[in-house]
Amino acid sequence: MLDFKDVVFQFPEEEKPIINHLDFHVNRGEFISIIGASGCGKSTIFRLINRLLEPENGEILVAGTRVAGKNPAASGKENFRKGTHGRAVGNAPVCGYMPQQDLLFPWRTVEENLCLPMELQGGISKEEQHRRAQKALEDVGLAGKGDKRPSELSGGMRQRAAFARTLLTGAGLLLLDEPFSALDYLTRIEMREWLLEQWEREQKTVLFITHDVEEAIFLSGRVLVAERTPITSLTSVEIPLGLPRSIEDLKKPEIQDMKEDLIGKLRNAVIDLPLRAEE
Amino acid sequence: MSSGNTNRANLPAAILVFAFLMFWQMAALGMDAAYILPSPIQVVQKLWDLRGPLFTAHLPATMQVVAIGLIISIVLGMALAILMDASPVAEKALYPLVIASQTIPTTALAPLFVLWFGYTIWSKVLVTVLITFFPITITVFDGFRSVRTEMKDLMFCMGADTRQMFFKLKIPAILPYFFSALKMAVPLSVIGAAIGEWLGAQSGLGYFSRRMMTQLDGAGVFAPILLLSIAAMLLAAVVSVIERRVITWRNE
Repeated sequence: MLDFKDVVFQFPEEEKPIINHLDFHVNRGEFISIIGASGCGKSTIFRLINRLLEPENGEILVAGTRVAGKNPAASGKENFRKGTHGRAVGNAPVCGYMPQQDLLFPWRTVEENLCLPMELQGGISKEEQHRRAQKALEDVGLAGKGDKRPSELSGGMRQRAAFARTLLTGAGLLLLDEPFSALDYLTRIEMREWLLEQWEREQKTVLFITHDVEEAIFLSGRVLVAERTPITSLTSVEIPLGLPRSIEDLKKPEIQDMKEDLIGKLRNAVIDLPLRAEE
Repeated sequence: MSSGNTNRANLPAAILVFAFLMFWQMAALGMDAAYILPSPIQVVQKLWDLRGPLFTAHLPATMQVVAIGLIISIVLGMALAILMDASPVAEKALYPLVIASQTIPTTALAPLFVLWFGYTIWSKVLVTVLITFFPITITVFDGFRSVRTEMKDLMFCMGADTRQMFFKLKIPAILPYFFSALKMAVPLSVIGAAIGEWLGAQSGLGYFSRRMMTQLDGAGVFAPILLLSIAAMLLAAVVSVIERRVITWRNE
């Protein structure tokens, strides 16, 4: 579903690349978490996939199609730099992106927010948009909330709405960038279980960024660890837990050991770059 | 907020205004020189006596200048803001000029406009535009700058093109700023029109006020000014009402 091939990226204001000759592969339908210390370049990986940044070298394939790289037609950075954000209308986005903050537009109702990706793609009738939005609201547990303003929803509900909007991009690959980090602890726990249900139902490939090791273990089939910056490789760790999972599973000794091991890996992570703020 | 609450909140201001008017009335009575300081009651009486020419000739003339000036200012201000948002080169070139334009003493230049355009409406409109477009340009441009990068990024990831980025993100995002700008611009446009008329006109409230001054009619100077203030307040109130209708969301 997703391939990084020899990808190199460097911020213009820095001396060294933050991502250097990185290769990794994600299978269709996997739930994968990427963990790493703050500022290690996790978010940069996402920004490369959704074309907000353009790699200097190598290529990134989503479902076998190159989304960025040396093909200028697919390069987002050129357009982005000029501020035109140019892109052919009617193109489905390569991936659904869910940022840390819900970024629901306050001037739109919840349902209108969900319709946004469909409006942008074009070619979907109003009735069909309404139908899909209502279905998505039901799926994420927000039935009847479509006419509310985002400000009338709780933090957890807003993240559910943002997730529904991400689903409605129609993309097979979902990039979730610490979506629960702004929520309170109890809501977080609840949202984790909820997210797993959503993933099982939707059959999407999910890439999930977090710095919470427990969250990564609970959610993922596989965890990719960024052990050093510049990121030259991601260490893949399989999580030996079946589905469905419960919070009790995290208490198993082998899972506890794994958690300690992963935390150890992160603490020993070598960040060989001046610290930069996570985007 | 209920109207009862609003009334109670405005009570201290109302008391202060009333006290000020009382003081003014006493002072005017004490001085007994209406050509220098007419009393508030005299001003209102004058307004009533002159209601014919003021409401049928001079108020419409001034409102025409205000309307034309405001429309031109909104179009010009928005156009400049959009241009500066779209192109960094335009921003670098225009922003300092827009700021610098405010250091020009417009009132001092106004006689020149009379020289150019004569006693036509355009000399007045030009004064109005010069002092009104500025807050619109700057405030709307601030609005564009306040659009969150994360939201632009999200729109980009969802496949938005330039047009969609503009109409579905930027325009709604700047609307609250646009209304703030309008609320500043409306009273300024009334001031601009009055200044323009004061300096050279054959009708309008500003012109009428000056004519009364040459006749040493103190109350006659104040009456059109009172009318101007009421007009500006009413216009600002209309903008607020429209704003409340349009901006139904809380800005975060």
